[in-house]
Amino acid sequence: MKSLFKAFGYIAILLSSVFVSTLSFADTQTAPVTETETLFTQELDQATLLDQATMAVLVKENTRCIRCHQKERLLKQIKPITSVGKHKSEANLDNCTACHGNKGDHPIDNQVIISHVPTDYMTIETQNEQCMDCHKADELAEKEWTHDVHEKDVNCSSCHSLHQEIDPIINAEKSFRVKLCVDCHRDPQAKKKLIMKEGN
Amino acid sequence: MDSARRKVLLGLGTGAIIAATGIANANIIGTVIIDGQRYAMIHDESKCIGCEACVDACKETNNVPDGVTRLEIIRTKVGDSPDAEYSFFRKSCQHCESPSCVQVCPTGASFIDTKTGIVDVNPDRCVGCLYCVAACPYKVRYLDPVTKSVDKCDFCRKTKLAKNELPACVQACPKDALIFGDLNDMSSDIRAQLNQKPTYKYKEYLGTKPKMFRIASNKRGVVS
Amino acid sequence: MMETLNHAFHFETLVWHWPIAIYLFVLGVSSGSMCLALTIKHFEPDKESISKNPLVISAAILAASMVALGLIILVIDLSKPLDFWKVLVYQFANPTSVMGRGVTLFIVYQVFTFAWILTVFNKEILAIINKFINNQTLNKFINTTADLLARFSKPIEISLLVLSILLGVYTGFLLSVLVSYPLLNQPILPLLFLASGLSSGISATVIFSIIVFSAHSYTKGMSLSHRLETPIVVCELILLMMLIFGMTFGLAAEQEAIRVAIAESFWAYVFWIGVIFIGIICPLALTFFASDTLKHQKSFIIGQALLTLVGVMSLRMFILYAGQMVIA
Repeated sequence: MKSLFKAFGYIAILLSSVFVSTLSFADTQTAPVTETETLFTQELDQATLLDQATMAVLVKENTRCIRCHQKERLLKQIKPITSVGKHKSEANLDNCTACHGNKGDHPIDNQVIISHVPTDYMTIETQNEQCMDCHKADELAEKEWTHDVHEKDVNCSSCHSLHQEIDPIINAEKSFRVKLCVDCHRDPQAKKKLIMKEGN
Repeated sequence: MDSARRKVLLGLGTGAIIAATGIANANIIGTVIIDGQRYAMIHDESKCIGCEACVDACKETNNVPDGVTRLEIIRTKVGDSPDAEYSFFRKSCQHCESPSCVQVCPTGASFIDTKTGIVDVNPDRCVGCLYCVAACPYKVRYLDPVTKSVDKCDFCRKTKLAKNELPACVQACPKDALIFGDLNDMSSDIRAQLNQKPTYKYKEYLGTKPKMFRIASNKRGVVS
Repeated sequence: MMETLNHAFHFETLVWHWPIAIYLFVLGVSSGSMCLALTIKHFEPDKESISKNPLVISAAILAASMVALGLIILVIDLSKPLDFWKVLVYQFANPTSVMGRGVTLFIVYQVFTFAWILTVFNKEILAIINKFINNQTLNKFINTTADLLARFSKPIEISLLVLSILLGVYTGFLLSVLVSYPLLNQPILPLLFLASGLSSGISATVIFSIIVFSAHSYTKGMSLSHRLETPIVVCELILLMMLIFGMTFGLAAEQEAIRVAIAESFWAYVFWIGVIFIGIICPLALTFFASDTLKHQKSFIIGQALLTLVGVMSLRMFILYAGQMVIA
């Protein structure tokens, strides 16, 4: 009986010292967790690569886009397009059609191209869907929640400038982003201009 | 009168004086001068777009160091992308009329400014015991890493209000979702809004008597 | 497991850390020791032998030093330690502050403690001082003061008993005014802290007296200490159960707070193993089931007292940390 209690006592003391030693964790610092950012996760798999013929057509179209648009289009005051930044694609020869749709009868028929500005012949939602083909809604929302509330009413191009090497809004400073929100939301007239542009 | 009775009376008398001063003192902490102002704020969640311009303006105006904030906008997502909606909740000092932080401060560093009804901190008196940070049920107080005193939103009492301007957050809001004013002034904007719209206050059941009113967001609710 | 452990000590709503738990612990030891010393003196009225009783000597040393230690810990834990004097000078600026009233209590308690120690240990103190300084005026001054105070011995002891109990409940009140934390904002906390403070004071005094002053199980006051311990520990258990039951059938915030504390976090382990098993069940089991010969062994007495101390320290850590996990 005596030795039983002795053993009991020793075990209890051992357990208690284990617990006291866990107090040493009281001052451990948490390691910062780094998140890897992936926005565009769609992998190009073999099935989605277009066949030779379709590719040939696209390359030809894209060449024709660049031929006209590398200079300033004085009639519509369209600035020369010198870069497509991150969307550059050598396979599609700079990839105009991926974002703006197939050339079709443009510029004779001006309503076939997706212009990514508010128009009265193509809804903003339809225009944005071209971007959403690759950039999924879930991923956009995870990266920046404001995508959810703007996807249907505001052109992606209102915040994103793709015809330059670096899109300024990517990883922008918080004060830059806040200014962007405020500038548009403060002035009800400005907001209207962005959503309902007269003509083209 | 024999000595036993004398002792009892003396004890009772002393006890009565101590109790009376205790009660009187307790009242002083919570009382606001009648002629003074009772500043309060409404956060209209139905107008708030979560741009956090208020957070930015506050930080700049009041020189809030990095790592701490006087004001936070808590975002709640309702639904799934791309049809999700968001509602926003402002987390900042409620400027309670029965503030826990003032009741617990051992040096009186946390106090109610009787002229304005604003709950503020005297950084010179503060020793950094963090009792008030623990006591605040809204968890809006923080230890300033530079001054080593406790700090929090003071309705820009020392910055904008001192120059007779509205607080920085109110000025910065693009949607006019923040309304600031004196509850004692019956003709103020805030009184008008409170009379027109139904408002709610956060954690009212704790008896803190907060002065931050909220107009509920009109986004559809979540059933969990 | 590391994740859980890390989270247990670092979470968003945590304000007061382990130094405060140690402060709460030592204050309890001080109040319990003083109560024990006064109780022993009351039941063993032989004036001469009291100042030589190892338990009374240990209790007096612990009572005076532990509260000083607690204050030092508190001052170091401030974010502006050099401004600690402001708590003393401005303590009456806010009469409703429990911490402010605690500061007042410390001063009065320490004064009375030193006064009592002087009356009881007059000769011993003089002997120690004379080893270093032999000044007749100083000796006369000490003797006169001691004799003056000895005339008020009874009122001083009664006041000191009241002050010790106030010190014991003060630690509970300090936490229970925090409206923000449901587990801390409980009216039973001061009583719980008083009970655990008393038991920790008794245990600490017993250990100290055996190790430093060669006390043993037949020392006058030792059996009294043990006879006091058991009902106090049982009270502690009852109070804990009342806390748990009360909160389980309380408001939503209280229900969540107690569930997280005793069933969902790392602190649940600390509670059931540290507080209940090591701190309450083991000492009680040892009391009821150990043989008489075993009970008179010094190692047994020290072991049992150590278990109680671990239990009380676990309780302080548990209440402080688990209490801050859930907001009202």
